[in-house]
Amino acid sequence: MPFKKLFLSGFRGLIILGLFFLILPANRSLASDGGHSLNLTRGKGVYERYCAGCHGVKGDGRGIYAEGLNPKPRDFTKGVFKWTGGPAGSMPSDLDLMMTISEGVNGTSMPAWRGIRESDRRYVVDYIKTFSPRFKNETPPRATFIYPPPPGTPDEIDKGKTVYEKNGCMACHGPKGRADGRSAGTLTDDWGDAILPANFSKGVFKTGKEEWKIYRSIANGLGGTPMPSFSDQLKPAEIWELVYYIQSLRD
Amino acid sequence: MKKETVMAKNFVFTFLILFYALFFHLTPASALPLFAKKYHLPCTACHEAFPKLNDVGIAFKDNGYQMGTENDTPLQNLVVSPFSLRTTPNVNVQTQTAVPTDQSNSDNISTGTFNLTGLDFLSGGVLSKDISYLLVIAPFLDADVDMEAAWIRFSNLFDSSWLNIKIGKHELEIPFSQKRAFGLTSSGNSYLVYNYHPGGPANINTFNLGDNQFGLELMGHSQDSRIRYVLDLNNGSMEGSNQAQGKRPNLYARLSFGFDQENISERVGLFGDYGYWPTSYKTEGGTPLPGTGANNKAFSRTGTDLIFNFGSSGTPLGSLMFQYMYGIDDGNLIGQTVIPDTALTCPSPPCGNAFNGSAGGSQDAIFHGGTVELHWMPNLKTVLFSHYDWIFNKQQADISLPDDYNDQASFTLGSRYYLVQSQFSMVALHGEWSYFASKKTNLVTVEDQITNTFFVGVDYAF
Ligand code: HEC
Ligand code: HEC
Repeated sequence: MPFKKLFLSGFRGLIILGLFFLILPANRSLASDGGHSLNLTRGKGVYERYCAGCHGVKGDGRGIYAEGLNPKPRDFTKGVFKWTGGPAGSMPSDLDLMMTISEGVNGTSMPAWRGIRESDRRYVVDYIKTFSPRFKNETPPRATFIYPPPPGTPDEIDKGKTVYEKNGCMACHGPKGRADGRSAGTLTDDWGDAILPANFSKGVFKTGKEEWKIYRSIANGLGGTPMPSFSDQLKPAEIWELVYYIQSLRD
Repeated sequence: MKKETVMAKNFVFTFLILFYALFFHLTPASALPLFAKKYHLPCTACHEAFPKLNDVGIAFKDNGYQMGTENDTPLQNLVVSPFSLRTTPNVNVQTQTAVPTDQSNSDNISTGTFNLTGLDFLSGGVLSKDISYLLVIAPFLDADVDMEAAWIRFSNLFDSSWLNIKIGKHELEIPFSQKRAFGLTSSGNSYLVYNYHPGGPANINTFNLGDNQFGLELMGHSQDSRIRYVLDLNNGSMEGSNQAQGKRPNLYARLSFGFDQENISERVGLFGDYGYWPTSYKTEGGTPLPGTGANNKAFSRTGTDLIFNFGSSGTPLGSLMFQYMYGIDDGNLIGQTVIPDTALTCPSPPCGNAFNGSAGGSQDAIFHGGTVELHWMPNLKTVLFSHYDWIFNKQQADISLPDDYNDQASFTLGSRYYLVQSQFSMVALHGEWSYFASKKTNLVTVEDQITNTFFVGVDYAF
């Protein structure tokens, strides 16, 4: 075969494959409702590729790879979430979900999904909201205001210790934050599973190192878990003192 | 139309039809399975389709095989065994034209064999936070055991994703990884530009961008790996007697940027390699002595690449990929016949002979070439892949050679159907046809040589 022909036959093959390409996307964009169902279809695609193995095709937290995981992957059908902008038990905003999905949950099997395209992360947020009717019937409240942090002096850490001891944190988290408080072994979450209080000696926080997020966990509490909200009980300055104190408990 | 083309076409069509007829209705359910197992993820969380990485897989790899959520069980707590294996039993039919033999100046040769692509034993993972490793041992059928990769990486130095250091034998961060190509035939799983040597066998420079290299890689990336850079100092394919000039390591560099839109994402990059190859040695008993190489002559490779990924992160439709590279080899690297050079001064005999090449080519060898590659996923279990590679010589070092001597072209068309891409294993049916032609490389008859390869196999890894 003459050399020129070889080049041509190579290109011909590519062009035929290329034509398939052009036909394909045309088929997949037949949505007529302003794109919403198309977006859900995309969200479903993302969910089934990356999430369903753990969270289950039906969103019930019983994916085929979920066995043996502790904590268990979230059951979305209950519509209960741990990390919300408002107090524990309220609905998470799209932004809250987006943050959890992008940054993952430290110390658990829930990965950080930054690698997934941002638009697709938004679509998967839309999609997981279809698993629970709560998202139709309720709206997320205003996010709890996070007061600007004080400087974090040793004095504040000391004060934090007192706040910690006076407000019952010890009962669950233990005197030194080692998850060995009196009631530590007795706790269960809203999904019916045993749950341990956070162990502060490890220095790993599920929401990452950012202090404002630790503040938020104390102020709001964590939905579906025994970790209560303290925003009514404690002043912002005291919550900050707690943040600094529990950070100091790291081994 | 020649016989082999007709054969090729029939083969491909029969193959595709068989594929779809047989397997479209089966519904069995892709990281190294060892990573998939460890993280409770299917292969497809990190691979668009095994072995090609998607954005999540790239971010995972760039982060030192860590998910980034303080949950990367180190090797010490062996939850699952950190070993994987990959091979592909196959049937391989090959026809070659214009092969000079003792019996004829130009023979057609065909072979048909049952074969294995090789056997990769892989182990990789995290030794401790931000310290990861990879070992790939590839014992081939009757050849030596080859340590294909063995490196350790220190990630996120100074808590920054922009500083990661890898040391050991590793694949260069070339635009299209040859370890992650869909193709399994020799043309299908390699790219001409990475492995080309202008001047053919007369070129003493055996540097291959596609080879795994011994060296030190400094790389950095943005958190989502959309921006990446790599600086790599390495031996430049020099082993044994070629380990001549460790004083002048080979430098490879790459910079790339990724962009996302709803239905398409792009990555654009630049890459380059700059190195030297010795043209004279001291010898002992006639054999060049490692470390004595001198009269280093330069070569360079400079290229650019552009990748389009179609579809969303969840339902990829495929990719269209381009690369273009320009290469220059110093003329002295080509056409050398190694002869003793007594002119090299020996401070105090006996020094052994110093060898120096005869006058090489009279001018630089210059070539350029590229790749157009297309992947198409009609559904999440099927991949059709195709790539077309070419090399043109712009200037031969040896002016007695025709301008187009050893111009090359290759074309690969293949398909993979995944029976399994689960947390534990990957099984894919694989069919491929590849075509390779080199211009005027039968030096006796000055004919073009063409190789056709048909390959059907089952690729599996666990
Ligand atoms: C390897 C298993 C695994 C995969 C895959 C996984 N998750 Fe999770 N996910 C978890 C676990 C475990 C939790 C519970 C963490 C906890 O409660 O501490 C969780 C929790 C969540 C939560 C709950 C956050 C809250 O406020 O309560 C959301 C939302 C979530 N995942 C979304 C996703 C999405 C979206 C994907 C896919 C892109 C995904 N997950 C993939 C394991 C996984
Ligand atoms: C009734 C038991 C209980 C009490 C009282 C309690 N906690 Fe908790 N706390 C928990 C549990 C259980 C978790 C873990 C939730 C999880 O892992 O999903 C938790 C989690 C946390 C976290 C989040 C850790 C992380 O990984 O992100 C912080 C911060 C925290 N508690 C602080 C406090 C402080 C400060 C107090 C006292 C003011 C307190 N808790 C009182 C049970 C309790």
